[in-house]
Amino acid sequence: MSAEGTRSGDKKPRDTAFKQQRLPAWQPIMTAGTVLPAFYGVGLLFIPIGIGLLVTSNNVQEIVVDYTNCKQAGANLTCAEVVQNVSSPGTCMCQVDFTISSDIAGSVYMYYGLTNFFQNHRRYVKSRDDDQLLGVKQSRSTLNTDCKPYDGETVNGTFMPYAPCGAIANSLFSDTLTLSYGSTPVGLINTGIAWWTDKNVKFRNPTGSSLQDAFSDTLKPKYWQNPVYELDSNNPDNNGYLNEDLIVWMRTAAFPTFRKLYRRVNHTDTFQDGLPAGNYTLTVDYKYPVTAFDGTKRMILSTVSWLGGKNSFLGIAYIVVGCICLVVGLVFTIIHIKYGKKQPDMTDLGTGM
Amino acid sequence: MQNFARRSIRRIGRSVGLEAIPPGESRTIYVANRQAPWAGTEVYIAPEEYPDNTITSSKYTAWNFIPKNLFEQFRRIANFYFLCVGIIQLSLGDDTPVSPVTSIMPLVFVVFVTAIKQGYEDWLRHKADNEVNKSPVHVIRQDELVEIMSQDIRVGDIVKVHSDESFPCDLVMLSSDDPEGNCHITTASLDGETNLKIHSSVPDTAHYNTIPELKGLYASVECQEPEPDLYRFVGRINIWKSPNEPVAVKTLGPENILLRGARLKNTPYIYGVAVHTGQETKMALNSHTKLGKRSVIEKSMNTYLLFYLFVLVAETSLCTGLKYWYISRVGEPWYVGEDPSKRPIFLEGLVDFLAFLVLFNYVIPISLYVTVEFQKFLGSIFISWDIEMYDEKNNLKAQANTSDLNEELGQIEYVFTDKTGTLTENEMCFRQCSIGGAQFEEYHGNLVHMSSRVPVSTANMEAAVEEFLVAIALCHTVHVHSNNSSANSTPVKANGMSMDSAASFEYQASSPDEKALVEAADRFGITFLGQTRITEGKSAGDFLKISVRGEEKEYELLHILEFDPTRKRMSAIIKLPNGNIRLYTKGAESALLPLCLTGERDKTLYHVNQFAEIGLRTLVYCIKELNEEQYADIKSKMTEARNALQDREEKVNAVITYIEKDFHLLGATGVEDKLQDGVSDTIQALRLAGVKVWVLTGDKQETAVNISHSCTHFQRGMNELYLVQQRTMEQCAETILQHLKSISQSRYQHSTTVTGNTRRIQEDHVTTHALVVDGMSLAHILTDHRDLFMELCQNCTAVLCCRMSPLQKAEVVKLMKASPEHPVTLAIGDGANDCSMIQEAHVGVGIMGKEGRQAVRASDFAFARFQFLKKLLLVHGHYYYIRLATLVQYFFYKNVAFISPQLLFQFYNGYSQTTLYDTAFLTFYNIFFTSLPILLYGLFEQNIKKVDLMKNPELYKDIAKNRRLDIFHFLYWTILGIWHALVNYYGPMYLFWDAPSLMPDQTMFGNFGLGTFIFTAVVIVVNLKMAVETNYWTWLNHFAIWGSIIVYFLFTLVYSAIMFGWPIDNKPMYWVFLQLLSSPTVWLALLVLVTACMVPDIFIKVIFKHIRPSRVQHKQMKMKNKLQQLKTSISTVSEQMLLSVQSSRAPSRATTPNIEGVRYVTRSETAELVTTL
Repeated sequence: MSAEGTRSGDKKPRDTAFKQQRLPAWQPIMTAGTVLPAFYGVGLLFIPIGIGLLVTSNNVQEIVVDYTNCKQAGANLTCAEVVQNVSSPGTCMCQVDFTISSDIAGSVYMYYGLTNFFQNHRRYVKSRDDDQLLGVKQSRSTLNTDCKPYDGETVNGTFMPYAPCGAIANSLFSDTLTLSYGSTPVGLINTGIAWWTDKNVKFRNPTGSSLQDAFSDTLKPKYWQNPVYELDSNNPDNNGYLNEDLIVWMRTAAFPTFRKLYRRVNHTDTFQDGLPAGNYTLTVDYKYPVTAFDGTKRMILSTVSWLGGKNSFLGIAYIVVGCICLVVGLVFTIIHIKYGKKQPDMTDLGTGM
Repeated sequence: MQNFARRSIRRIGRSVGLEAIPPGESRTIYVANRQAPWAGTEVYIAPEEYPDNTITSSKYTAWNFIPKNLFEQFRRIANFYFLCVGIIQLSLGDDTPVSPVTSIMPLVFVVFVTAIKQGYEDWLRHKADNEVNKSPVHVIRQDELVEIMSQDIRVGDIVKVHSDESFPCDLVMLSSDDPEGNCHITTASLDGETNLKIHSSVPDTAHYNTIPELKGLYASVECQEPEPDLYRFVGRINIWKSPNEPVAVKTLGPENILLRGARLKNTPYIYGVAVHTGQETKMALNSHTKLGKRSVIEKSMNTYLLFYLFVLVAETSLCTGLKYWYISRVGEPWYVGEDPSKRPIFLEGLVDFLAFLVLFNYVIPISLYVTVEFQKFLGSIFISWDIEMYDEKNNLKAQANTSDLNEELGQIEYVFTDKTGTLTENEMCFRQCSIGGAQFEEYHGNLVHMSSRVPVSTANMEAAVEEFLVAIALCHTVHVHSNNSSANSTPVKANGMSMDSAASFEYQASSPDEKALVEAADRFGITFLGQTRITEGKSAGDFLKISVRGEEKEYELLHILEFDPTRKRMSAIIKLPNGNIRLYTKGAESALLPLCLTGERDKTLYHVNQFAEIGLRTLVYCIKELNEEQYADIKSKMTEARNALQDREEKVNAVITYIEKDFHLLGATGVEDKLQDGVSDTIQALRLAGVKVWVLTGDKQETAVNISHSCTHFQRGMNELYLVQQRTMEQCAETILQHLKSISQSRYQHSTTVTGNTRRIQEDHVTTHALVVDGMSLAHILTDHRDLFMELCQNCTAVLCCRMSPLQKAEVVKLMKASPEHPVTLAIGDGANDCSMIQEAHVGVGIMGKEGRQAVRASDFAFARFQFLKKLLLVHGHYYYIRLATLVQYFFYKNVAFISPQLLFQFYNGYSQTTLYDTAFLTFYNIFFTSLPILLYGLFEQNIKKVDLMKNPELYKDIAKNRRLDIFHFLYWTILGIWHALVNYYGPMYLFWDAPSLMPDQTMFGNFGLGTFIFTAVVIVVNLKMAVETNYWTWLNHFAIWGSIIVYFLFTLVYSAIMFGWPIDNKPMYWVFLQLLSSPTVWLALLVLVTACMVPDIFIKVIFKHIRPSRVQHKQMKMKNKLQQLKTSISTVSEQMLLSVQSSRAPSRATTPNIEGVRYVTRSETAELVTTL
């Protein structure tokens, strides 16, 4: 204090642009005149983009088959009535016939779709153990408690975790869908349907001399019929946590109405040019109960575009926003002509924005 | 022992509540903490009873910093709120929808940043404290001079202080090198008075001025317990000289005490005994912390906060209710599994309520307070950096004593200003005088008869004139300060050589009037040469040396009866060289003229009024001859009164009143107080800005009215209403009613003449009223009639209050604060008498003037010149108001836009409290992704150029009455926030609903993809919103706005590319962001969503700007149009020039004036052109 006091130095503030708040600055003033070109520009840009997107989306062909209430083959019951209890499912095979009216060109993908299924429910979303799925062998203490009540069981005094644990895995979609064109079965590929990083990084099998050995200290989840290492009997690499159907299911959907990629149509031999028009049969090994929560089940066949699947929202959004911009541009033009030249009267002063 | 017993008894009494602490309780201190060996009973000496000499301005120590600072911080409602939310999250355990990290980490960040800031500030205080506390001082311990640290001084220590050192504690002076025991000190750092003052020891101790001598000093000091008044000290010193002599008792007054903070000058050394130490010194008692003032915005901010708390609870209750309605309808689906924690239903309800609360709590912006604090802190630094508020002459820059009120400067509706030293220079200049009924004025350094224009010659001076000038030269408290080091040598000054001699000595006085008068007397041939003290022989005493027309004379100064504001006069009793004793008195005419018996009373009064009319400050001089008996009588009465320990002041006053009467009038002086530069410009600007200016002064009515005219506070054509000299309340009320009637009449007359023309004309031609009130009338008003008076004031453009006591000034401010509109007030002043109003007003401004530093210390802002007020209000006030108001609005907006999708998502996940956003997004949104742009906006935004704000004061009205936080602006921000939330939620929802793949390879996104997508859109939109609001784009704003978006992208890229489990479990987010970015649909969707969000923003902004523009926008567009015209004219001119150059070698004459004209315009607007282009 005293040192500063005696040093009767020059207290003059420095005259720099920063200290004097004179930093060079761009001072845009938005008026109708200055912004209207931007609105016209955006409008004129967005409407064609929107039309393009809409056309792209409309070019995607989509066949939706709701098989929720399909009838059990040879019986007068719907499979939904047969398969009501999730914990002890019966078997119910059913077939749905449908027609594709025109040829579907290009790669075709098969989805299953559920409605009213809240995969985004809080307790459901977190009811998983990512470390377990990474191949870490979990004990009772290390297992994520969020997996409860589907965490494991005590067998002969020792705790055995479910593999994989948690509500998500437990409720794995278990219907088997097959497709035939007339009598020709349509080849379906059950790999390449999950993210590459999920398949190769995020999901790992535990180590063991064999896959079965790797899962030796675990139990199959409560509602499952096969243990995790026997999910795909045809492809030994598509088993354990690396089963792609499991991986796809584990990526919980954002909304209660969702679809998930199920199969890719094999275009290598018979259906090289896509699916021809004609009568098709969907055969369902119906195991998954949805009527308990008023849900439905669908099978969806869809072609692809560079945008993904059929989605007209984006195109419409672009067209709507583009039109609004044009209208705003028009309003601004009127304002510019009406107010631009003459100054608004000082008596009309308002609060401004 | 007695003493100890007395103390103990008193202490016991106090502790059991029997004895209240008497206000002026005294303490007894034994010099050097020892007692004369021959003195009676032994006395218990306990310096430990008093605090040591440590000064602590710091708040924390290293040990208590963490707990104390945390406690302080969590007393803030926002921090406490987030602490509660964090605790709720922790206690919810597995049922918390989002990790506790999301509220604890931002809270830790905010608390940490605040702690660093406060810790740094405290560290600076510690450093300053240490520098003072550890500085070496010399004290006498065991009869030897030892050097100790300042903090170790104890009460009773004899301290030696050398020249140019400051006093380490309050000392009673014992002796100095001067055998008379005088020393010179400056109290600049205490009260800002720069003149040297003479302080002295009592004569009995003056010779104890060496260490061996001091060994033999046995004395005790009885004095008051510490009190903050710098100018009051009552005490007594008892000296045991030798066993044979009786104890000598002498009184001690303010002139005997050397206060901590003052500095010793021109005196080699002094000895003093420490009486008050450490926190008990008068300086420490004066540095009390001011009461916090809260700004209008801060109050609105708290209202907003409460509103959003209410919204939060409403949202939470709604969702909880809906959840139970939904569950009762459909029940929990089988796939979710039973809730493992089986709770009773009421507890379940509570848990659900708290879970929703946790989910939506981000609607309260956590970093609002810390950002506001930083914005204010840095903003106040910018104010002190303003070179346009720096006074070159005195090397003084503006200072902001508080950073809490920057934005309040934009809300001022009333300015209460002091006159002397604030509107005026407080630099007095002798102009005219009246001597024996004749009027004189100074003209080129000579005294000239007003009527005959004959100069008064020095050689042949009339007796009356000489007598008058001698009175001026004798009756004052001016010191002669020699610029040569030896202070005691009498300055030799030959008459007429004032140019040279000015360099060798100068007058120093606490009153600038006195200085001006003594200097004037010097110019006219009567020079005051200084004061000397002769200690030995018959002629011992104080002598004033004056040179009368070259002849040196010595006048013995017997007594000075100092000036005080109630008497409004001061006197000196002087023994003339011829042995006569005379009382010289000067003072206000109202105080002195009634006491004069002889002399030209009427003529002098007439002249005094004339002086006042031309704005001069007047003083009346008179004398009274005393004979020996009278003097002896006076002297004994004085001594008696001065030695009284009880009621000393009243007794002394009684004696003074007894002395000061029956005068002979000599004449009067008129001294001019120059107006400061730019005062009238500033007052005009403030008035245009819609600010009402009131002048509050202690000066007399005529002078005040005159100054008001000259500074255009009162303007020509104003109808002046007087409310003065009202002796009764009834009279007062009657006058006010009369005035009100006359005002309404003038308005009625007027309104018949105006027939619906534009408002502007109406405003210009309305008769304006000015009101003059004096202190006496105000006293009546304040007791009753407050409402009447307020009504009258609201109809007056200018108000002048004169003859005000300091307390009345504060009362007036308080009165207006309490008026129904609750206007925001600012008080500005420079003197100690302005402190109370400065502290009373919403914003207090101190002028660093000649009347000391008290006003500056009491103020919130301080600078050197009144005219800086214009920039402070019109520019800084405007900017900081806009900046902070927008900052507050933006903070609530961005959290509405951020968290509303979270609420909407609940309707689509079965009210299960699923979070839409990942933990990291919730944690970092407020502290990293959206904080810097608004902080920089808060520091650099300029909605219009400074020049335009200064030129167009009416722009200030734009922001009056907290306009930017009114319901209209609140709705603007909130509705847009909700719009942005709706677009950013429902847009992605329609993309993800029954999700067809958004990827060319047909893979799917889940709920984490949705959340990340929405969050990305929110971050972009919220930062773009800042961009739309920014009018002043420095590189820093670009850096912050685009930088925030880039930082978000970089962070999320890294965050979603690496898996880790601590502190945030980000495995669900693995690769989600990269997968999103690899989808063309996502990019296209972002583009259209952001556009859809921003279109209404821009639309509303532009529409309002054209249809109902604010003044600022009006101005902006005008400037823009001008610029365009300028551009086109420049281009046409250059085309013309080009053409003319092409067509003929010599350019035609016709284009030249045109070019000149353009150049003329260009010069004034080059800067604007450059920045805008």
